[in-house]
Amino acid sequence: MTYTIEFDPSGIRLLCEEPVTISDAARRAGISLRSECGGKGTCGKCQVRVQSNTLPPVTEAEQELLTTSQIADNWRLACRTAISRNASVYVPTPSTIEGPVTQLDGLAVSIEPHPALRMLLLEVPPPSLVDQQSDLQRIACVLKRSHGIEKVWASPMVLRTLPGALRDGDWKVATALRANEIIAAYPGTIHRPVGLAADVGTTKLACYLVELETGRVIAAKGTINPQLYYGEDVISRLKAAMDDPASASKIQQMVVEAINAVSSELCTAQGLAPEHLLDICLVGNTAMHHLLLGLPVRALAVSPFVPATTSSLEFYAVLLGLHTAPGAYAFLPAPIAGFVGSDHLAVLLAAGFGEDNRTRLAIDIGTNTEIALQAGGHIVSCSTASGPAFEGAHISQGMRAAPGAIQRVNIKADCTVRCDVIGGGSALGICGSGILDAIAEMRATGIINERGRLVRGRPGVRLRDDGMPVFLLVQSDQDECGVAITQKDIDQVLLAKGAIRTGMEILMSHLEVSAHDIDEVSLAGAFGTYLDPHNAIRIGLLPQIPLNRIHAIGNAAGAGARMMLASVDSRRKAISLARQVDYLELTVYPEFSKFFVAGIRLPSE
Amino acid sequence: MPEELSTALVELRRDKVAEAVKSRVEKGEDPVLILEECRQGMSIVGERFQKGEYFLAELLLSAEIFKGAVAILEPYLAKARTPKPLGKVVLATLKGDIHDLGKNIVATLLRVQGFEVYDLGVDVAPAVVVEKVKETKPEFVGFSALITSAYPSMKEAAEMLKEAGLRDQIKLMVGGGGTTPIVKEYIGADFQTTDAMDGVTYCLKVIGAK
Repeated sequence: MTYTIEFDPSGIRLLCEEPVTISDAARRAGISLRSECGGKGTCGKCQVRVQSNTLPPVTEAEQELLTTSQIADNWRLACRTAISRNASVYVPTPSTIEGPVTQLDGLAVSIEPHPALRMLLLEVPPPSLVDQQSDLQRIACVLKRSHGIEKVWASPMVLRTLPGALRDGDWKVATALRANEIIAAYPGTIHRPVGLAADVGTTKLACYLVELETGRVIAAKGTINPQLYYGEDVISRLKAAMDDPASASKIQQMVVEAINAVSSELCTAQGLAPEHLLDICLVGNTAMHHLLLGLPVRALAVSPFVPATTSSLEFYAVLLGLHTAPGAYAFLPAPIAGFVGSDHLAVLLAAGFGEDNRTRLAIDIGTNTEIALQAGGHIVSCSTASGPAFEGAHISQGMRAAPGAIQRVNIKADCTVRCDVIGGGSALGICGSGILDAIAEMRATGIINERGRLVRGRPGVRLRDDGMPVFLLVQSDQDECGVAITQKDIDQVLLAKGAIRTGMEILMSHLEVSAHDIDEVSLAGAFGTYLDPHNAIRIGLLPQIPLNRIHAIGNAAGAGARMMLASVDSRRKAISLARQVDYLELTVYPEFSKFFVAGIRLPSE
Repeated sequence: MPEELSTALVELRRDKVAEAVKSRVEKGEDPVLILEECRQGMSIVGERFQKGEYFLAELLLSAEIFKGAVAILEPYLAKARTPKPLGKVVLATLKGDIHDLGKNIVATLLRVQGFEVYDLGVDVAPAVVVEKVKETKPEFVGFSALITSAYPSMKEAAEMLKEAGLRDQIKLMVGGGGTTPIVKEYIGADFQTTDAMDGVTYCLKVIGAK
């Protein structure tokens, strides 16, 4: 029996025949519902309000994760609720992953272009009965005669397009050459060679259309990584890939299709086509790298976490299913270790590691935070499981940096609170930078004590019905649902920042560097751009370092990918940098516990 | 004077505790009594953690301080009459998982209560667990897990204990952030928790009932 699901506020209507879970229906309708636990009913973030004549009974998971008043009000978890009759589903913004601030801007890196290829316009003498030379040899002769290039060759993919290009262009052909290999041939006129650099993140893909001869970014676009359907975190995706070859294949295809879709959009907007993409550079964390290449991931997912390769790869882009010029190569720089990927390498490249003797610290904060320290001719790197607290997960009213999220908090000495909300409207929740500010301010005004405990009796500190101490940031009234921070939220942030600080302190101890020795701190990633460094120091996320030495470098991974795309020199630098970096496995570091204990605690005044 | 030591531990004064323990044992005081005071301090820390007054950092720090005190007392304890352990516990994080923070907290809290703990570490093969159980004949075996990769090896270890005829002689516990009542059913354990103190209380209850 067919029925209709109407989604609000988007107004999208979906016609269905079979019973379907709301989360599957949302996916089909193109609505990006949060699915942090991969649809297993454990994260509680896919909350929707359902109106329907018949609804299935509330499941155990929903009893756990929703309050009685929510359930009374028809709020359900999309992944746990199957419908088979007409229904209207309201999807609130905090339950979606649409509209997070996708970071595209990166370091304005000065790229000395050194392209891996060149474009040459050739006039080729047409064949005749007295000159029956083959198409390829014809071109090869012109290249030898006019440009001194010997032993020219082309792959079958390119050969398929050669005869057409020659004849369509009336024997004028623009050839793209990589050393002596023809990687593309276009009829008639030449156009500026372009390429694609992409940072394949766990959550977001950032793609850049780059002018190869100058290294200039022509256009950029970001999108959500559709693999999120298999789970927000990397381990869920690796598990899906390990357990079922069909899933592994789907996971690989999903990300390739997303890259193709974005690059196609970027090209079309410039009057180009994907076939004009002559060179590709892709960076990503090691898991993303392996999933993209369709490499086995079992060894990566379980101890001792070993990748299939830590060498850079260069091969035909079409092998991955990417839509590019027929003979274009994709360069995938080396991952550094099991959990530190080529995205981190790209960050180091963009941040100037290996360029000089300055003592540098680079931090890319995400669900996993990669940290690198350069000192005394050594570079060490580590990965810490900071968890998604700074991205809004595990925080009761946490959300991503999207409209409605509190992003800045200021608390006066009398404990009155002022919040800054993204988009300027009502506060729906709080994002990473907001909660970092809140905790720093709460500590400064004595609302939390030196152990991070909420102090009963301080203004704004209440006890919830279930006994949980909370601090009210925004009062609830008829327009606003109110936003509060619970003791548990504070603990989650302390754990997250503890993990990150521990990683930093261990690297510093390993290279015998103290905070005041550090010349430059580079914060990469979206969170790095929006966090307040002063507050980061106040809660102990960063050590005491003069503020003028701390810089946000945006999507440095994307910047590094662009550098490698535009310059063969940068690729060589990256390869040598990868060899220089020593990966430190924190779990086996002696006295880890001692560092961790110190890292979790709030700094003493 | 006796109050000072346990208070110092509760207040997480590492140096004060080390100093006090060292000077008192060197003066000839009974190391067992000194240890008992440290244990009282740890109990209070545990209570404060339960109440939410102390957080993970405090719990870990107190464990470090306590371990430090035990290290100082070790040579003296060996000579003195040590009370018979309350019971024996074999702990491990099984193959596939390398997380041990929680397990280490449980080990310390159990030792504080007077249990003898054999901690096999992380990524432990099921066969190693069985060998240790045969060797030490404990009352309890505890598996700690944070990630699901440990489930198959925990189940395997439980089966191997059954096959070796050892399962009925022990109480099998599973604990950690990666465990749920369903995991308890799956492995066939006697007890499951995500709370360290909860696990210790269970052990005390079982021993008390014997």
